[in-house]
Amino acid sequence: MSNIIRVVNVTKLYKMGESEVWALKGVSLEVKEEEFIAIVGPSGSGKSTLLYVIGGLIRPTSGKVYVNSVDITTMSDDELSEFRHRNIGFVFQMYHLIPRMTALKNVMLPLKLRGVPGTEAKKRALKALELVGLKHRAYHRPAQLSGGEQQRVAIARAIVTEPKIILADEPTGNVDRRSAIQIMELFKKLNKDLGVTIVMVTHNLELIHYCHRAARLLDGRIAKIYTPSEYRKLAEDMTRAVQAEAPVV
Amino acid sequence: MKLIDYFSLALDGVRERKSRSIGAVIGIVIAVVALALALGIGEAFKATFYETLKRAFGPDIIYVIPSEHLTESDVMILSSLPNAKQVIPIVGTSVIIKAGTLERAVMIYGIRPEYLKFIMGVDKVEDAIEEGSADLVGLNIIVGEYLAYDYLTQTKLIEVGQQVILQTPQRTSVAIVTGILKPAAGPGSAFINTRASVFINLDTFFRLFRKDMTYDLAIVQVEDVDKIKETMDLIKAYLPQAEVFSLKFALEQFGVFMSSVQIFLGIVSGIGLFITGLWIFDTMTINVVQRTREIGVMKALGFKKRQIMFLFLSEAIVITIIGVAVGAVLTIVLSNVVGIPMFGMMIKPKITPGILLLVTVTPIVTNLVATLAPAYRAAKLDPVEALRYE
Repeated sequence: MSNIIRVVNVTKLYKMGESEVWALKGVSLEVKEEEFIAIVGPSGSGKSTLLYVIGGLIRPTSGKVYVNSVDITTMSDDELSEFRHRNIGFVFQMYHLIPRMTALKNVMLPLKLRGVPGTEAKKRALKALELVGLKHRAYHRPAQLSGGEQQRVAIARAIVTEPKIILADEPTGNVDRRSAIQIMELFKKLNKDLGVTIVMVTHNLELIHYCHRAARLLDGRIAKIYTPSEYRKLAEDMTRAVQAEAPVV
Repeated sequence: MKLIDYFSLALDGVRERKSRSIGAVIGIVIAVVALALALGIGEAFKATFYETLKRAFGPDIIYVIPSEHLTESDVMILSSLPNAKQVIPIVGTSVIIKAGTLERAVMIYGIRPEYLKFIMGVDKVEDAIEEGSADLVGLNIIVGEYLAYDYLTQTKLIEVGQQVILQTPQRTSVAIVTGILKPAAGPGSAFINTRASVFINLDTFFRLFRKDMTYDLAIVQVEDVDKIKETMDLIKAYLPQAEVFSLKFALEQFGVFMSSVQIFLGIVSGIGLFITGLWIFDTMTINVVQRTREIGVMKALGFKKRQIMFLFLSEAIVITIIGVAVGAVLTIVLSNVVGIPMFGMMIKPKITPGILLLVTVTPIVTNLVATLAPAYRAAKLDPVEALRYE
């Protein structure tokens, strides 16, 4: 499989008044087509920044990002918008559904942007909702859905335009364990059956086994790229170490 | 993205913020109705008085008002001008007319009998007479209807054949009423209130009231209306001190005056539109703040800056179109109901297609301008910051 994403020595500097924070300090990463990769690491390590750099929502301070062999760092704002629309499906921790719209209308939104006629857009949106198991909730508004359901609607919205890549930022961070597993099963299905490349930022170590690899970010750098079993072992070792040092109450 | 989808999304947004949207729509309705009615009243006033002016000033008529008086030789020179068809000299003075219980200060005009039909705007002099005859010889006089009848009770004050007294500070004369005029108005009515005046033979007038045989005014009727300007120039050259004007001049002057009045009315009423624009600006600014995360989502989905901007502009257009549509219907209904009583008639607003177009386009443009800044702000939002906005 060829690389669908190639991040080359990317840095990102945030300036807040006088202070400067380097969120990414020379990150390089390659993601193959149809790969399911997790980006893990402690809070503030630059995981989400890296995800948004790959998705063209954040411009890196330096370095290159190639998606489908195209350098997106040189694109204009409008070109980046078009690039996102054509290639990327975003899934966010907070779902970010539009509250006044029904699940169906939320899923239809990217199709409307593409200019797909109403009936065709509705048909495709219902198909996407069926894929995430929520066709029966098509006419419900987000407030009438559970967190897990809202996230599945968000996934339907992400896949309705059939993107090659899904970028998921803590997709299970706001749902219960059962819903988290449902979402991960859905991702697995999308990856396996439809060949969608998935890059997922997560804190949840239980979910790593769904992925092919996990890139661990530490202080703006990729510390190591693990297989799921390697990463789980590392996580368990770390947990034991923390417990051993913790004072007995 | 299709235009219909922009407006469908805009309508969703408008529905979500019902109370603010309704407030904005009401503001637009009031502004549209106020502007349309103000301009409509101005237009009706203009149309009414244009008609009056056209009736009073014939298109082929030039009025010559001397600085002091016109002599008989002046009248003859005016009559000899290339384009002059006829010259009607008019002379008048104020008298007190006494007849039975009637005693009133009126204007008496000396006129050649053959010119009376011209003054009255009729083909035959008999057509100008309500009662009696137009036999304007010797001490015979013709009186206007307001003198012959009591204005309020319509009881007769003067009978045909009745002897009346005409009194000036210099002399008192006796005259005989030979006719009562119909309520008609021809080119003379610009200067002579025919309904409340007395007409006497010109020679008699000179003998009784003006020994120097001079005139106060001359009405010049021209052969060729297209050459009226040249004729006016000739008159001005001959009588440089005189006021020389025609219907075109009067209409131009009146047009300038009415346009100024309409602009003033428009500006006063336009304040409503300005306030509505501020309301829309406020609504849209709040809208952008409240929907910051939504804008972030849209950007993540691939909406371009101009698409985000157009989405917010569409909302302003939707609100404005609803307001304008309701306002236009209300304006048309009200224009048939309300009116201003003036000069014995009810002047109702005249809503022309031009006014309707103006009150449609102006709020749309105003509100689009008012939405530009918030819409631009929305378009410029950083997608990640917008997504993280709390």
